[in-house]
Amino acid sequence: MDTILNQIIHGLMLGVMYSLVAVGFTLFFGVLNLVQFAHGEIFMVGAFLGLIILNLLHSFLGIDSPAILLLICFIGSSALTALFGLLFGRITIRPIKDAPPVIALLTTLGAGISIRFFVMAFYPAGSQPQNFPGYLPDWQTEVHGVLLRFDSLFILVGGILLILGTYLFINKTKMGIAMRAVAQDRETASMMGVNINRVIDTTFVVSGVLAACAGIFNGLYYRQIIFDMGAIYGVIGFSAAVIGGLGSILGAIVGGFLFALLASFTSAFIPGGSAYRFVTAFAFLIFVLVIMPKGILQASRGKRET
Amino acid sequence: MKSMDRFVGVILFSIIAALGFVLIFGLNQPVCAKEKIKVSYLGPLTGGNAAMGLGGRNSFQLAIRQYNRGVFGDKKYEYEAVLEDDECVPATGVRVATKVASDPTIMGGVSHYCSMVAVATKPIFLQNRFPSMVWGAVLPAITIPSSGKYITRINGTQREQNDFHANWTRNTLKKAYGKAPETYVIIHDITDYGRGHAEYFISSVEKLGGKILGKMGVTIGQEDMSAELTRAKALKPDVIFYGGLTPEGARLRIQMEKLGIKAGYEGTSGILNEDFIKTVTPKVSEGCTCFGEGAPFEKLPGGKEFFSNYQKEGFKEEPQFYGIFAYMAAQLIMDAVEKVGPDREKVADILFQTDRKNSPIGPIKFDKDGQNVVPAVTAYVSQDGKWMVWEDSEYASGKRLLPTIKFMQERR
Amino acid sequence: MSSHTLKELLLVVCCLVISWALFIAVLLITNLFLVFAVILVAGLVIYGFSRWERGKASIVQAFQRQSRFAQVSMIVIFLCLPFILRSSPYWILILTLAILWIIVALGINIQFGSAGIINLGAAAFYGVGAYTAGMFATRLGTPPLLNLLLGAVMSTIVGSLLFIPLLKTKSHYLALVTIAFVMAFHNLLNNAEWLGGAQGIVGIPLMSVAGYSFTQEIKIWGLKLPSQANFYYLALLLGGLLGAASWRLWNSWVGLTWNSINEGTGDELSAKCMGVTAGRWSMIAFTIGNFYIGLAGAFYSHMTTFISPPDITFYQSLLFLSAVILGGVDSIPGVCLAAVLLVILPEKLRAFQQYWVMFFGIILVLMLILRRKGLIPARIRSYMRGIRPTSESLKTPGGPR
Repeated sequence: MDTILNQIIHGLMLGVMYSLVAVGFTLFFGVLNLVQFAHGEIFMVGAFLGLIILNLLHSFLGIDSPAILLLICFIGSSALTALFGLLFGRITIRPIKDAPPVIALLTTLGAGISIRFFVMAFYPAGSQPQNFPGYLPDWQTEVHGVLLRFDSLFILVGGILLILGTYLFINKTKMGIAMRAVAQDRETASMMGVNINRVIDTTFVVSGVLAACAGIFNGLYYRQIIFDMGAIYGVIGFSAAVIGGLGSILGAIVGGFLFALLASFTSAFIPGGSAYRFVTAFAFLIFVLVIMPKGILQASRGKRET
Repeated sequence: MKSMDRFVGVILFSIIAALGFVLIFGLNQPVCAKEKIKVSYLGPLTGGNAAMGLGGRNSFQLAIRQYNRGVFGDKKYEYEAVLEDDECVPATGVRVATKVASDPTIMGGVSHYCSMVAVATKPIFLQNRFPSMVWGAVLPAITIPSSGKYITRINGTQREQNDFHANWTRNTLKKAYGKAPETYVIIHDITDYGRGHAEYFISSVEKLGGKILGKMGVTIGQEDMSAELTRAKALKPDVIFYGGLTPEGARLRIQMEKLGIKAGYEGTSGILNEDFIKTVTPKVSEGCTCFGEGAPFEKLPGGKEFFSNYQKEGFKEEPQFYGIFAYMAAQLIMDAVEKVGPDREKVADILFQTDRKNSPIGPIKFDKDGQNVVPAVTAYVSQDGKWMVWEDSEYASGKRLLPTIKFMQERR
Repeated sequence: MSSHTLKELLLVVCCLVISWALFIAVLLITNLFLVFAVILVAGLVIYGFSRWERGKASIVQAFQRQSRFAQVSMIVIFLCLPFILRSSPYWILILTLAILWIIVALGINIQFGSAGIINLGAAAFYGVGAYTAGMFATRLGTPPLLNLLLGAVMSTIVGSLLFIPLLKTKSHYLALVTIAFVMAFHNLLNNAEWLGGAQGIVGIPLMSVAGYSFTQEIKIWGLKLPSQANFYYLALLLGGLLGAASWRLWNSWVGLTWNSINEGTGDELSAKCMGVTAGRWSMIAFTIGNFYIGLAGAFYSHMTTFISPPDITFYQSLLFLSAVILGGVDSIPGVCLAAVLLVILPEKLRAFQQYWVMFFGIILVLMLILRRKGLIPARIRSYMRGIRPTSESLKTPGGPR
């Protein structure tokens, strides 16, 4: 029984990280009808920027308090990653925003690869895993055989807060409404005075912040980041978004948790299953696509298909 | 203008004909392997095992340079190093092996730290009749049973290593602390290398009365090992044994810490390098043990000299524990070429029957499978951020308590 | 023979010899600076030429009017390449690999270029072909030629099974499913012991045809060719047959039908109104494409005696697909050229291996943004005698650019 509970807790934590990336994908698709395959790399860049900031603060400024270090790290990396995402959008997406989606998909794939291997080539010892300092306290406790760790809970709670924040942003702020308008009908929205370019920028900024935080969470938990960590996260994030229904934030969350829990359970309960955990998750994805192409929450609006 | 055209036509035609002749016949000079002899080195220069590969490469280059400078006396030939990266990926290994084996100007090579790459490239070397001496891969199947005189190995295999390991964990620890671990959970990577370690260790340790509670495989590159570790924790072993290389071994140790698993951690030669300790952090790696062939430099007859020469060359990377094997293998190949000249077959004959009483790594004798019967395996324990020979450590002397034993005591 | 014809023939021969000489020079020169210099010079010459209208026109005309001769000359050159390269067996091997990539690229060209089916799991089908051949060869000992066929057929079957549920899905979803498929397949290969596991299948017997083993060297006219040449010629034969088949398909109403259901350049609705069963034709394109890909995979495993999971990744799929994108969607010559470049450049630039993938990604992005037509853009078919389409009517995915 405690194995199950432990797996659930672990699965929830993974789910949060997947969801953060999935929300980014769903925002891109919902608002811009764009599959941003380089989003996994934005996640990776966020983690690396976080690492650089932490090292700089610690080595050069001698700051030692984990709380301050982490605070600056999260804010700094989110800001820088958002900026990076912004530039990325301006350079690669704006020129092709009116081309068929296939082109955008391929372009972002290519861009993602460039970013990934740029980091590998130019970050010192880039091809090797980088140690990520563990500033989260090691505190852990066992409650009825279930291991509760501070870092897992931190990630869980932090992730949920971020997603909540995004949800509020999309639904309550003026820019959020503008984004939803562009998602529904780009032409009419622009006729109503919505600045499409501004919306594109905002989408990149918001998803960049989420991805950066997910990247730092990942680094803090596993104590290791590597240049190709974005590859699998990109595909997982996209799959999660599709499972939940592209275009719906709730769907992305549901998809992310489903994907993580499915993978966790497969590795825990099927003998020898750990190796096949992604196979089952992807099989589930294919199944969903065939039976419910619009995702579990039936979020895609009809116009997306043509 | 017709005559002009014709004139131009004739000129053009002759130029083209000449080009054609040059291409077909000129580019194919007969291979004259005169003064310069090429020897190749294949190892992982990039990727998670790069530390070992670069150390091996530098050691290899040291040998070549020393020969060319006349450190060991005047040589008949001048040697040139051909260095290739196998990335510890079998497919890449096959590609670079094909490249060097099919190059008739390369007389022989020192190949591979990663066992899986060595297994994959074996057919290529055999097919091209290319003498290849393994310097770091430990999977027994590479040379045992022998597939021919072209494949030899200078380092030891998993067989000896795990025999020694089992003896250490059951007997040596008992002698040092009065008790030894009884139960083990085996985690290994799913390549033949990891499996090999697991199987040899299991059979050796069971013979000495150890009990195996479980055996689990992980994939190369697998990031999240919580599933395996949660199950391992539930089995409550004294020791977790990891058969595999550094990237996964380090990740496993880190995640063991996260999941609050205090059992002992015993690994193989795959984690015997500085990168493991660096990644896991000295504090967490304290008390981890692993095993390696031969012995560290200070204990080898020519070790100190090798190390100081290595430093003098100004290489950026450390030679690591296997560098000296690459160094020695290079010497053996060059000595063979000196003796019989640039003939791959004759070189292979000589290498296969290597029998040397004195060398920097001690006596070298190849058995009927072309496998060096190395007398010693050494146990290492991580102490204060460095791998220390067990006998020299404060754990052996009893000044410190090995985490494994501490865990066992606290549990009972 | 008029002097005009003679001049044209001479012009064709000149161009062919010069370009091939440059190509071989690039292959064989090991000093990287020289290689770059040669490429730079070649690039400048080509650029200068493309500006010189009269020269360009006369060359194009010469090739068109003497096309039969040009084709025969090309075939002769292909056949002679191993002779020229006989001191570098490694490059013959690489050229053979390039031909395999051409076959894969042709297959993807049918799927994506003609019919608009985005197949990001091409490496998986390559893997199916390779593993099938490997398994049959090592477990059952079947003759290699048969394994080629088995590999291709198995790849086709797997492809159809995957595609049937997806007939109705559109571009991104199809892309995602093919990505998921290749990743799941990779995962499966890594873990399934019966398929060799992480080690893959080792010791696949080398290709041999009716007892003639490909490990033998070829001796013709007093010259000795290294054993790699055997693979080269067989690959050339297969590539030639498949290429010709591709060309015939493209030129026929089959190719036209595929273009009509292509999401990017065709109009599926209109096609359906014209009586085209879009689902069936998509399936046919996908299947035939996979046949090509599987065949190349099977050949590969018999050539390298070894196939393992790291050969079959999403990144590999992307490389295959990019041969089509960079070369020119739906353009057979373009696709062939891009495939060759994608094999030869990374080999030549081994010294910059770290940076190669990054450059590749950047080039892909730049091509997609700036020159979507590709290296050799596809041409509109000409159905009326004597009338050739002009450069303005070149096809571009996503509309004119």
